[in-house]
Amino acid sequence: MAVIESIDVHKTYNPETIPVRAVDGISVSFDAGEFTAIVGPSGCGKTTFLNLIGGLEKPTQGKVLIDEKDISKLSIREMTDYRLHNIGFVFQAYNLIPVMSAYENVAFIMQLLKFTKKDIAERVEYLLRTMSVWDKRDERPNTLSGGQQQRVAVARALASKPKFILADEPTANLDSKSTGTLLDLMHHINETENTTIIFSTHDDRVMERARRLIQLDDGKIVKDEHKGA
Amino acid sequence: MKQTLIFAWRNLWRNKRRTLITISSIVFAVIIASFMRGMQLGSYDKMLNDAIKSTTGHLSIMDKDFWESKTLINSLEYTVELDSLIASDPSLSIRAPQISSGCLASSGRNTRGVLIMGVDPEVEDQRSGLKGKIVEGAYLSEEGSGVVIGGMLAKYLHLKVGDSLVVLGQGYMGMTAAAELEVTGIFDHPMSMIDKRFIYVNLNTARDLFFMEGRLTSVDLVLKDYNDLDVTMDKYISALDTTVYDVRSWKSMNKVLLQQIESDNFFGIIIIGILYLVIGFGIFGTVLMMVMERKREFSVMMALGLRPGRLVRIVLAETIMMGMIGALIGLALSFPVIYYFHLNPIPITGENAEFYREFNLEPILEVAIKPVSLFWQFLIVLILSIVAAIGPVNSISKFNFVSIIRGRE
Ligand SMILES: Nc1ncnc2c1ncn2[C@@H]1O[C@H](COP(=O)(O)OP(=O)(O)O)[C@@H](O)[C@H]1O
Ligand SMILES: [Mg+2]
Repeated sequence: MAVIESIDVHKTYNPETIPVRAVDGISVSFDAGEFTAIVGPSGCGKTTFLNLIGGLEKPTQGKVLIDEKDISKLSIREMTDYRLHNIGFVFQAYNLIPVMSAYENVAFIMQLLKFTKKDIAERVEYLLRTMSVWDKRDERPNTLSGGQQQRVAVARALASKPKFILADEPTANLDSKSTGTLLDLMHHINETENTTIIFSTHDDRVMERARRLIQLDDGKIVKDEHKGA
Repeated sequence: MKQTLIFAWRNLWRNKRRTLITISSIVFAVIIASFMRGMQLGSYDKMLNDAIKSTTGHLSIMDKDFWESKTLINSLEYTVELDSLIASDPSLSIRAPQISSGCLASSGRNTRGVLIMGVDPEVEDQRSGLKGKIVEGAYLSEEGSGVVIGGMLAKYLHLKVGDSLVVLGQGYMGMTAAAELEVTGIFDHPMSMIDKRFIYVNLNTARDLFFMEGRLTSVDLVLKDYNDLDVTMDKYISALDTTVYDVRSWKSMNKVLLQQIESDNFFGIIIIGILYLVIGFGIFGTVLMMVMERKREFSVMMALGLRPGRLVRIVLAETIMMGMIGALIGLALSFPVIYYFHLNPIPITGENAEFYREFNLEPILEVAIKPVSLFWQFLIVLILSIVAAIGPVNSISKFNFVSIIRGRE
């Protein structure tokens, strides 16, 4: 069953002046438990597409259905709450709150969602252990390496057990060793928790790890490839 | 809530230097403002209590036409009802019945227009410390018909203790009032008007002189607590027949002093206002920086699903904390300063000293300790912080956080 479905989605910036068709008619659906990479050269529309299906931006045309619900119709406030409850985000940088420890960063979202203390403690420990940063739990982000920070960010994205995780070039600032570790861990989560993970990248080594590759060019899908399980 | 506070507190110390500078500026402003205000309120206290006490009283009860005419025809009958009304009022510290009337005073060699003040000697001393100002002879007593006069009048009329002077005026209902009275004491009064033109006698002497049996020109009242002024005035206005009596407050009897206090107060508040305005801009700058340098962080948090309102609350909490810390430290530090100058009054010099002397006041400034005024400083800083934060905080909800995360802004 499709968790996310985009139906002829368009996003055009500056429609009045110099229109930029960042996403130009994408129809695609994602099933539960996918591990998919959105790839393509810089400027092809990866970020815009992720923002559209993540409820950060609204399409100028077309629909985005999440669990068959059209999120492009929600108000800004509803979208905000929707993101909090349903989607885990990992960005390229500035993911963590600097004045909070790794532990607090992960717990924070769960506190907003009014999880019980016990649930929070259990889940945060589980996630930080899974992401191999449990020993860094009391450290603030600026004392962690880039790779450790991104692992904490993934742990935080998972904290509320979202429907899916969107990661926009999560490895762009990492060296190859940290990149490998992060992907291993994301893979592990995907398999053990059956979490749907969609990430973008323009790094060949990263895309190799995906089970499905969607290649964009000029805002359109040029290739949609499922690799053998 | 608790989380917001912890979060805000930590954010506050991300840039220690900036936060400390902002807090210090608030501390500084609060100390200056509290001290200045304490000085002002101290001087008003002195005016409103000491100066008013010895001149008009806080309130004065008189015949309804007396203030305009100042003649004995418009004197009032001192009834038993009036006496018991005043005597039973616990909010009064001084009740001064008096008979005052203009006369001519002559010593044979010189003549001068004077004001005869018929007073209760004991009460007059309480009001103005007249007894202590006697430099020759003795102070008034209940008995006898001696007069005490100022040094300058004595000099003008060439009088010594034991000499007599003749007073000539008009009594109640137009009878001629004339008497030869013995100078029993000479005082030295800082208010030159009194030193030159006042002749004090006891009430009985004044009554005999002016045919004022059972009558007074006014009863001056001094309150224990100045704050009771309006209430007490209303009380007397409703208790007394206003077609017969006039109840006046010092404000209408001493407009000069009232204006002096009002304009001084006005300028004092303006100066404190300017001080706080400058500090307010400082807070504004700090909050603006606190918001702007966290644009990215805030944007990521909004993308994650934090409503802008939550970030607004966090920044507001940071600002209010900063304001409260500054205000509390400021008050804690100003208290010993104010207390020291309360115990060790500052001497006043120059023109201001003259002004004080003219009002029969010692030219020193006791800085007042007014918890209410200190509370106001606290409140002002609090409001100031909130107002300064409004602009920057408002900009949070206007962030185009998607563009900011993309690095396009
Ligand atoms: N806010 C915007 N206004 C105008 N053009 C934009 C905006 N955001 C992105 N674009 C343009 O849209 C196109 C797609 O951008 P993006 O989705 O960021 O691509 P990618 O993530 O693949 O590099 C680019 O040409 C980019 O310049
Ligand atoms: Mg991008």
